[in-house]
Amino acid sequence: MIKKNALSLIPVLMVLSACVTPPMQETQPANTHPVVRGQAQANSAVASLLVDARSALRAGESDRAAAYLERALRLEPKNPYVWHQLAEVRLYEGKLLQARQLAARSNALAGYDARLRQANKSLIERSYAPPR
Amino acid sequence: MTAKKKSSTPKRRSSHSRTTHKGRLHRLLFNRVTLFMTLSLAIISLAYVFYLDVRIRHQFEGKRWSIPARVYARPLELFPGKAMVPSELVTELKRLGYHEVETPKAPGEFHLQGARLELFTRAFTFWDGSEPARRLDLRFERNYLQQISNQDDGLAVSLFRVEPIQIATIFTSHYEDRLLIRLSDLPEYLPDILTLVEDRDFYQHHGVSPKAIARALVSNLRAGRTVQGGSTLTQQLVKNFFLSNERSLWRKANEAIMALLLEFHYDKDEILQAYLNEIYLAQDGRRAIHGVGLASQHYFGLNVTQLNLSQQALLVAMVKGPSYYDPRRHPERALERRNLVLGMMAEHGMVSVTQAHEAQQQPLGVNQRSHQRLTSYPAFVDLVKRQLHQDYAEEDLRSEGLRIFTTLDPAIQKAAEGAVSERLDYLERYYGIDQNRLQSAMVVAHPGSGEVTALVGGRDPRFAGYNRALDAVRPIGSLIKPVIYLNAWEQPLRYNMATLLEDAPMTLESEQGREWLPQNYDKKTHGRVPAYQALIHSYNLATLQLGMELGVNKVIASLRRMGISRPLNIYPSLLLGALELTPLEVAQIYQSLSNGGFSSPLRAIRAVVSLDGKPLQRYALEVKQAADPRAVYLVDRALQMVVEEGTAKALGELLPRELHLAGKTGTTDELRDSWFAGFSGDLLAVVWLGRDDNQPAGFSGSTGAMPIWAEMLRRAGSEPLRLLPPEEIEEQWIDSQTGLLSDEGCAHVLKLPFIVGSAPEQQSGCEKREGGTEQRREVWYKRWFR
Repeated sequence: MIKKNALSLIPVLMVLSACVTPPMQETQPANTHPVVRGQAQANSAVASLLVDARSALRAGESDRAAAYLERALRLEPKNPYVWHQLAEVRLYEGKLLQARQLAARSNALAGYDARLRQANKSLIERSYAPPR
Repeated sequence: MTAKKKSSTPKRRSSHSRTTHKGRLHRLLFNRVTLFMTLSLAIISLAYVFYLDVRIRHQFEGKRWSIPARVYARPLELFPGKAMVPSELVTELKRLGYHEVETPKAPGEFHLQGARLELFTRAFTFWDGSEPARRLDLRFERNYLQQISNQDDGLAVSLFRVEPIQIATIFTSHYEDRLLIRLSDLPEYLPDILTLVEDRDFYQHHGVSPKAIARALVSNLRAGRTVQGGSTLTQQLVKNFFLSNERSLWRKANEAIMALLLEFHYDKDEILQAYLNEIYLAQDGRRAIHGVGLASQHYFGLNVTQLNLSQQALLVAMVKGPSYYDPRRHPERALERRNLVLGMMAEHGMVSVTQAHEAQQQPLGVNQRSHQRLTSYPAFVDLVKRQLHQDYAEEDLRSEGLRIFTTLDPAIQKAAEGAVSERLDYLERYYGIDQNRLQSAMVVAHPGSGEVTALVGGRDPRFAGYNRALDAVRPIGSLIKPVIYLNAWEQPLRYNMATLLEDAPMTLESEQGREWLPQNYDKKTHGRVPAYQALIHSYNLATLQLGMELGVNKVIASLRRMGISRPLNIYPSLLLGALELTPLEVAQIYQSLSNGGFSSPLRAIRAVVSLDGKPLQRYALEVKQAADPRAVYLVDRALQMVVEEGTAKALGELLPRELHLAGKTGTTDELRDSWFAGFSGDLLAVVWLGRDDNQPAGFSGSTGAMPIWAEMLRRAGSEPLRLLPPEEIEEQWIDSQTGLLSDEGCAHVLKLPFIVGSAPEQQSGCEKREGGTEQRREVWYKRWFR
């Protein structure tokens, strides 16, 4: 009879132990980094740089805009939107060859983003249009 | 004007024939033509002197550097989501001179508690904006920096950069370093010893000293050979400006004129100071050591102000012939001359006889190896200097106090240096090779941007000598092969990864017109093999066949697009890597392979800013499509297979497989050069291992260079490689033996990527795999019910 009681406790204990969380431990910092680094999650950083770049370009400060974008690319080299923005800057500066190359780079990373592909395509077309 | 007749001249005084000649002479001298010629000669000479004047002043002014340029490493960018552990940040902060305190209250202080770091940053103005000083709270978790907040307003910070570490101080207007000294800095006797020994009348003459020339003439005639030179210090200075072995009369005449001009423009002290900073005193490998400041460091490891009497005398003694009197190579000669100088000093009452005697007894005091500490990263700074001179106007570089922002990552540099020196030491010990025989070089770069993050020029990274990363031109062996396959796969209608190639013996004609029978590394032939296999196992014969079909010039064209500009020989042997490149050039090739076929020139400088904050022309990020991204994707996949199951298989034992690294081994004839080029998600590196004397080092790519590469990556840490297939790529099951289309359940199949429309259409017969029968039926049913 005792056995039966004890056995019946097991599921209860299991449920209880699942509900009990271990005491909060201060995460021990690693002394060295792992060999395999996690991928950088630079979303907010890149987003704020994109915003800064766009406003710089609107203010006509293309050099500053380019600097923000290059900084963003160092954080996320495979971000097609940043490459596209840089292409816009070069187009604005009249560096048409580079603008096209950068748009092509963006396209190579765009995957199935049809809207971005179209934006790159139209940028390339604009780069062939006669200057105003 | 009427022509004068020879027969009648009113100037003739007597009928003496001599007078006739005199008269003729007069006429000759005052003849218009002669006058014109003399005048033109005078004008030309004047113009020439003017030209020399401009030249010598240009040289002199150009060397009057005062404020050197500061060279910075890359700034550390911090943002929530960065893969980083606290110790990495602490290392950087300590190098910046930040102090660890209980509570950060002033800029330059930090406090680390477990996973939380409080930081009071210093303000810094970059080339593209500034960071204010602020108090920040950083939280780390699970190998990431998770959160950054401003302690003053509690707001989250999405991105900031710490000020960059200063890695060097350089004089940008010329390649060589100088340790500038002012006359006032010099130790007591030095300038006087110099004038005593080399130019006694220095303060009296005007650039050239006839007395000195006469004195020298007499001594030389007496001795029967050249024992003394008659040049003044000024003349020697001019000679040093335009260092040339040519000792012609014309040269000497030019130097004399320029010496006079110098004295005309500048005073004695200025000239003496320039001399002491310019005089060539030693050779350090490829580096010329100019000036007593640097020479003191080089020979004695001391500041020039610290030199004692005998050391000062030795420096002056060497002026006459730095190689002849090299105290390390010819100590007896150096000692003799130094003591001679000391004797002269006593003779002329500069020092007492006792002092001179004492000094003569002292040993040379020269240390064995130079320990240049002007810059901690001489190989990288060497690249910086070259790029500065390549891309900036000379006048801009003469500006004082420039700030140069580079791409160096000190953490990766440390990893690279450590890997090279430890691994070479180990190999020499383990294989019983003589110490310091093996040499190595490494270039590390960021694939996406082409920024050079680390550069190792040799096994002793602190030694500013031969920069193998930039100057060792070596045959690259199999490292060329991916370029050949790239070229092939850019023609999807003709070639794909499964295309069968013939790995069979062939006879070709070598450059010398002789018969050339190339061989595979394992000396075997492998018959018909799919292209990807030929690449991952680095079969020479199959690759050669492919390359010949494509045409060597096509492969060269690919290399050109990938940034190789040096002249190349269009021989078939090029297809097997009989072309010589530097490690930097190899890195340039692999940069486009690691960046989807988009080539960016490898660069070490991000920006240069003048003292007043004005940026000089910037090194903007540039890309150029060098190859079809779809074909590059195929090559990248193949390079991953090289690591998974090909010639770089052993890498799997050195590094975690989740990195999915791509790489290529390279070995040259008789194991002379060992190469490895490879990349991960955020790091591209090329390693060369070999011997300076070009004797076989005895290592293949995978036993020599590859482990060094692996060790660097292990120390630096890296992101896994995630290849994103471009549009128009599909995967198909291929029979690895026939190269034909197959199915999942069949024996010896694998999935390969293909450019849409290029996959083989022919089906292979299917041998069922063990237990494959069931699978095949299932598959068939599935298809039926789709």
